Amino acid sequence: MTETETKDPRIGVFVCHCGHNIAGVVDVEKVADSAKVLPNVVYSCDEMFMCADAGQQLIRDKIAEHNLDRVVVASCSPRMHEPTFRRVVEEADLNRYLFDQVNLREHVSWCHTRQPFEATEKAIDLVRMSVARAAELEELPIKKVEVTPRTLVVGGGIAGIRAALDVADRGFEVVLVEKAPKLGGNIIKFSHVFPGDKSGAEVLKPLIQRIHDHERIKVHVNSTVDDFDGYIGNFDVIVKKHDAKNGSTYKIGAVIITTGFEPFKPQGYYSYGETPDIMTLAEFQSRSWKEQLVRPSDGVPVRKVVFIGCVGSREPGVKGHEHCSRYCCSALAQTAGDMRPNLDEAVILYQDIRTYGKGHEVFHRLARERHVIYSMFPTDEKPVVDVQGTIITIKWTDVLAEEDLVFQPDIVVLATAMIPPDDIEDIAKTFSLTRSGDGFFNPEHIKLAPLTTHTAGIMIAGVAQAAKIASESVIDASGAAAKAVGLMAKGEVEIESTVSRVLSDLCSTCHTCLTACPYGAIVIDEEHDPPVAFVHEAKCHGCGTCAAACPSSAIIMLHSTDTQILTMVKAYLCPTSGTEGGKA
Amino acid sequence: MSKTEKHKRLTPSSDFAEEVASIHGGEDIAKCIQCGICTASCVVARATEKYRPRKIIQKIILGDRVEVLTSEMSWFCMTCRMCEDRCQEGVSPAEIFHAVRVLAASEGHIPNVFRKSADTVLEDGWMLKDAYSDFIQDERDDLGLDPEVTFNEKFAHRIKEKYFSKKEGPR
Amino acid sequence: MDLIIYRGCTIPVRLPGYEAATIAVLEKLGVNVTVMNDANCCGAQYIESLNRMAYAVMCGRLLAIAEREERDIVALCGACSGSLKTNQHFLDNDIQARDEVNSILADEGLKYTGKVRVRHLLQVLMEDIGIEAIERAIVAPYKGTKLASHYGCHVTRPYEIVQVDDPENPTILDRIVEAAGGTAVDYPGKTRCCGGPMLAMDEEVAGVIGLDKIEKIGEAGADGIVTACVFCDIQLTQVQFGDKAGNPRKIPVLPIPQFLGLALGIEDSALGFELNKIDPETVVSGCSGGLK
Repeated sequence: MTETETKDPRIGVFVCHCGHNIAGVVDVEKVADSAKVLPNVVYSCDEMFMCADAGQQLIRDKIAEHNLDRVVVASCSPRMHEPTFRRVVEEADLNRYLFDQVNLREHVSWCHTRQPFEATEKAIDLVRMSVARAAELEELPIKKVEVTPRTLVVGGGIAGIRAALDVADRGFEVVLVEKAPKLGGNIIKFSHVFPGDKSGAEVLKPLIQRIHDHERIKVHVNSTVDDFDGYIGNFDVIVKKHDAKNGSTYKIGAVIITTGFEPFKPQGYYSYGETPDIMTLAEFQSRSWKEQLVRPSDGVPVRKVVFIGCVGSREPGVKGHEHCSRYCCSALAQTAGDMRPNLDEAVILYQDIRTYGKGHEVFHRLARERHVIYSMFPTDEKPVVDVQGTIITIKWTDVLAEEDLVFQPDIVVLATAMIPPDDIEDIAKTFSLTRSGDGFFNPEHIKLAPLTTHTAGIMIAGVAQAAKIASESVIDASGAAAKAVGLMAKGEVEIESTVSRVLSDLCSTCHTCLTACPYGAIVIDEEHDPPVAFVHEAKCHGCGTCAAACPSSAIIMLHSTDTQILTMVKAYLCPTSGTEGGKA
Repeated sequence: MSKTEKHKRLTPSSDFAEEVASIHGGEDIAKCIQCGICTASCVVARATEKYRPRKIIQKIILGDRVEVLTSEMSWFCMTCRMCEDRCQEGVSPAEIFHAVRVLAASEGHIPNVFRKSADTVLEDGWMLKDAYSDFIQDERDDLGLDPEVTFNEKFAHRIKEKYFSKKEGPR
Repeated sequence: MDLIIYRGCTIPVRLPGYEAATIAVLEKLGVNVTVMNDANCCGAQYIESLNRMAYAVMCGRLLAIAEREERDIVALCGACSGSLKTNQHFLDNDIQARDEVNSILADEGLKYTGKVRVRHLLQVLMEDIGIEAIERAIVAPYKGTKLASHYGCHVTRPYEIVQVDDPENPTILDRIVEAAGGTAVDYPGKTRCCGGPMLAMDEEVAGVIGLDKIEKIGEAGADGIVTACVFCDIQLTQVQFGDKAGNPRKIPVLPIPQFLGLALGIEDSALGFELNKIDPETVVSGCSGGLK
């Protein structure tokens, strides 16, 4: 390893053409030339594709040839290739934190396409700043932590069941926690799970049996996660039965949250609550299916049913009820189509028909073929339900026929929204998760990382992530399980060294950083005299909030120290003589 | 929201749709998913606001038998078949309205112009006997065509007797 | 080949030029034609809407007459050809209906067994005669005269039954125009209805529909319109005379055999041009044969 403090740094600068992407706008040769006269630069060149094999080999060769101990690559965004170039310098025996990347693509050529002269000026400025910073970079240790080969699954519905089995079948231990008295979530209550004729209990029974028989799965029903601490690979969890004083402690490597949903009880919608004959689809499905359907109020056989869609869903401006619940249109089509042969009339009142799932459109058409009447109502004038004794009267306007209608069904079935369970806020706090507008948990990235969260090591799956149908929940669960297994199989995980660090001599124990940290990564080290703040590096995300908040300047950000940042500012504003740039 | 008649409220019923489905031409009524491509293609709908094929079909689905059979709506279809060509579900609104017309006719709801034209055909064997004047005959002659144009009246009377003497239902 | 022409109600009285031109053109191209007499209305639109079996019997009789003459039928009107083909399809697939039809036809000694084909004139020109034969027979080609083709609805739709041309992109008329030396002009709404059937229920709407077609054809710069249906021909002509038409130059409307006949060297007196309500000058002047 080179001693970077005593000798002058030897910086190599590599400016990438990125084919036409950068070189089409920026004069890359001029930028490479400009770097040659910068302080501490012993080598500078331009190259067609730095990330290609040739470019990578070039770095390795020049490090050896010129004894470089700092590398600057001016190319695309670090989000693209920082890991690539860090690996390359490591292979040449240089610490990866002695590498810096300048973004000449997303920050220069792609956004200043029509101003090549100014773009080149900017590129020269940015490279000069990075070279100044590179001189101040320091080696940082590479840290790895072990991963405990045990996964915690929170929520024993269909997603949790699938995830638990997937993980356990691959040889890892699972702790499955469920707050209800038994596993099965919402599905186990349904008399009918489509397609096919089985009930939820029948469909889930073999899976639940496997779980109870599985030697690697420990099931806790009537329980919740009482305490949760630690960091990826090394979580500390306490699981407690409701109202128990003590619980079971576990060391956990990865967590999968599958807390699902509860069906919205639409008080105030369509006279729900005024008569037992107006019920939610979930309540309807929970009733016995095979016998003759009768009215709950007076036991009269049901011959006419009205279904209403979008109840408590898709309501702009109503917090927590703006989302589409996805399952309802298909469920209504399937239910109504199934029932129609035994009824005189089945009417579905809808705003839209979203039977999007694989094979679901068939159910929609089948329902229509069986003369289920589909009637579209306007979004700004919903059907009006009136209850007089046991008589239910519904009035609405059909948008497509432009007709006013009235109907007196025997029962009304409301397809209500999927909303988060009532304890979701507790879960969010326990696991440091954020929630989106629909009330469910936020994924790390909606498209590219839908099952992970901003808390490393914690995955979300099923409706816990967003309203969806059961088969999609199972897909999520298997995906999250695969991620958990990948983590545990590797056995260890690298944690970033670009974290914050407390200079204990300067700490005044004011607790500001503790409160400011969004990840709960800072604690007070009571063992120290006087007690000072201490950062759990595995939990730290390097966001810099604590360093900015500290009134004593007692916290530094590794790899983004004040010196390292201020030297960039100085290099921009005060170019040394003999260098160009600074004009715009 | 627009209302078709003064505060009339219809009670939906699938009986009418089932009735239409049992008539030749109306079989596919239940396949309609109300997508609207027929109405977007309809030449009549393009020229006047009072005719919308999709709307008529939804009225059938809802069971508004009285309005559909007594109004002039189904008689506005020009049978140009553009809707049939474009419908993705294999429905022919033209055929459905044909079935509706036949049903309406069997219950005596026939626009005057249709009634008169049909009477003419059933009486004369063709539509333009009255217009078949001497001048026409001369024109035909000048062209080298046979001036005589004959249509069989007796056959027309047979048709009238068998199918239009108020005994038949919709066929 | 031998064909029997079914004229329907309208052609003999309202558009005899179409009848004459068709006979002249077909004979010139080697087809032997006779004309059906003692016929009956095909029942399109009116009887059709009132009673399906009556409609079937009326067309059944026409088909049976052709069978007796042992000739395929060629229909010149779109509605007629549509009626005949639809009912042929119905009778070929419904034995009960066929038996009922034949029981009525038996009085005249007629019987329908499905032996004869129903052709629309365009099918005869394109399939039975063929475009190459037509090209070879051209003696006085047009000099690039621009013609817009109007096919009519019942000629091309529904495709499963009539099988004449691509319903969304028909080309037969355009190809005949080009074969005769004309320039086929495309225009928006080419496959839309002329509005003829709407005359019964609402003349005003019929006028809107028809004038829309004329407007689009005018904007496309056509010198004339060629048609394949008598009803369309009459509608597209008379709609240009209504008070909603305004005063633009009237576009002549020609049934396709009139247009083609001139290029085949047939005497214009045999084609009936003097009966055309709109002077066809802009079209015929483009023909190297010209009017005599």
